[in-house]
Amino acid sequence: MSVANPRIVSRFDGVFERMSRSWARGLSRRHFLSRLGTVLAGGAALPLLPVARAAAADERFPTQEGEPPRDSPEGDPLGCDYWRHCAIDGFLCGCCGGTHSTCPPGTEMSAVTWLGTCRNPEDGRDYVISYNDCCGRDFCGRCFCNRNEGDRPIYSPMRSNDINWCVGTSTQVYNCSVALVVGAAAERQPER
Amino acid sequence: MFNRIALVLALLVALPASAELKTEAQGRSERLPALEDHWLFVGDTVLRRSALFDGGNGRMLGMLNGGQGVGGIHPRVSRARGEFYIAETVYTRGHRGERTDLVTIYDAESLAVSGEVIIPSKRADNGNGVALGAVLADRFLLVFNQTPATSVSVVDLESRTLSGEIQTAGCALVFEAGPRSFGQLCGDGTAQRIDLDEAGLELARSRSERFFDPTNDPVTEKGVQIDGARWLFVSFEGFAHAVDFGGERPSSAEPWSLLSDDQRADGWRVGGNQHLALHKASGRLFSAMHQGGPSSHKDGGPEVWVYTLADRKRTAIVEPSNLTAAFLRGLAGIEAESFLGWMMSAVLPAADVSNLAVSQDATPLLFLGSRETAGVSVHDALTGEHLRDIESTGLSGGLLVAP
Repeated sequence: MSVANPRIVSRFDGVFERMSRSWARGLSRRHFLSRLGTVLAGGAALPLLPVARAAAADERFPTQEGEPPRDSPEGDPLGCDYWRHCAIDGFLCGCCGGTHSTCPPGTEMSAVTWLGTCRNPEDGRDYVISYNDCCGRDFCGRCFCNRNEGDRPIYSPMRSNDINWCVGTSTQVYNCSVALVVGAAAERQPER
Repeated sequence: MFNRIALVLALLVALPASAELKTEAQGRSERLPALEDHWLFVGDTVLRRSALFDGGNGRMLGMLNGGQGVGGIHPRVSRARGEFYIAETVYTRGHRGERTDLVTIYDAESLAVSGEVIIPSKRADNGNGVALGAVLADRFLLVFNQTPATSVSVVDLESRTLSGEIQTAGCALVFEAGPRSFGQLCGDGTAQRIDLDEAGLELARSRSERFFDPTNDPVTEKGVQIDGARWLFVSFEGFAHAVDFGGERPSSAEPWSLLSDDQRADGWRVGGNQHLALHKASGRLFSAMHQGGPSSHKDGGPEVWVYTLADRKRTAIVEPSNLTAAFLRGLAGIEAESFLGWMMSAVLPAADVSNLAVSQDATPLLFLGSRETAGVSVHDALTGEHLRDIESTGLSGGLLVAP
């Protein structure tokens, strides 16, 4: 579905200034839940990153040949810096019981969605990415990620990551988002 | 002598009785006075509510709930009717079951539900929650629908019935544009006005020329009403477009830039969920600003720049208090004036301002909030002076609505 701010993942890796900067950038719509644990527990959030990286190397989160290495930020499907997440806005399903391409148990993937275009740094090609929402449970609340490359206001609905894309499903209750490769883009999208 | 002794004894006996607490009545609830200019609704996406605060002292007054959804809770107001309205979605089994969309009507003094109107189950739900509803002259409430096909539901507040649904293919949102008119922004870079009749049905519609580039430099949804049918929208690149939804057909004025070339070169940009606010009487425009790149249009900023609409000049910069500290102080019960409170403000990374609102009275208050934390920085809107924080408004940030 959609939310909006970037570079959540490695915010706690850096020095204080980077923490501050990412704090400002990291959140938005479903933002706060992802943050709440951090805010309430303070430094307790620090161990989350290694855990996430360990999970990223897990066979349950397969990436395709031709994607960046999984030990890099651009190749980690549980990270906000994952290359496919250039325009995602929501909780990453891989942190919620699903993967970056499948929904968590008990939830239903929305068939109606919006498409972004992200550049795969491994092969330098642009790909059309489908950001489907998984629906039927409340906010997952984990691994919130919001990046907005090519996002447009809601009067351009098919270009808007703000919209709750749990439409056409049995309920419109939003849980998390996946990022599926639809195909190579014929050309770079004009929106920046 | 005997009388004096009797008096002293009587007093000694009476003293314990007078110190005893009185029995208190059960079942009482507070009522609010008539709506005041410095009140503020603060939304909370996680708690699915909008809480009402007195910005004059930071005290919480009450709250309204919202139903299911990802978007912000935005109460609509009719002062004349003494009512608040929430458009919401509910399911018969909580997060599942049969969906019902409705407008819940609250009495503005008791905050009790005084009625509801069932509307088409198409209510738009999005993360920003801006411009999804409007009240026209205390008579009609508009609810924007997006499935993603777009339409507008019209509720007659007099009869508390649904007047109808107006299809608005290609155009979205609702902006009040007169007693029986509303405006929209369209995906082709134009603006649309739809006029209603006395029954709330469509009477006419008209469309402007294309005035913005929806691909390369779109205007955000987060416009501010200048007066009547005139609104100001700002584009991703910081150009202000004044749109008049009135007249024979909507029109726009020549855009002007909120940024100088030097400021642009330094990377300053507009951004945030409610990145604009306007005090209509003084023409003071407030804009959240940050330094960032082309995809940062949803990022809030550490500064709020103040302009006067008349000469389009930047006149001041307002910096919020530390909104992270404002949130955490309330949770932890730490006084702002204490050493620990001071330390928190000095050390904690400050959340950026993404939500702005301003009251419209003669001594206006400027409210600065963040989507990241649940705290609000309150300022004198004419001088920019920081007056107080509203601490721990909930668990998450959300829409600010100055009713």
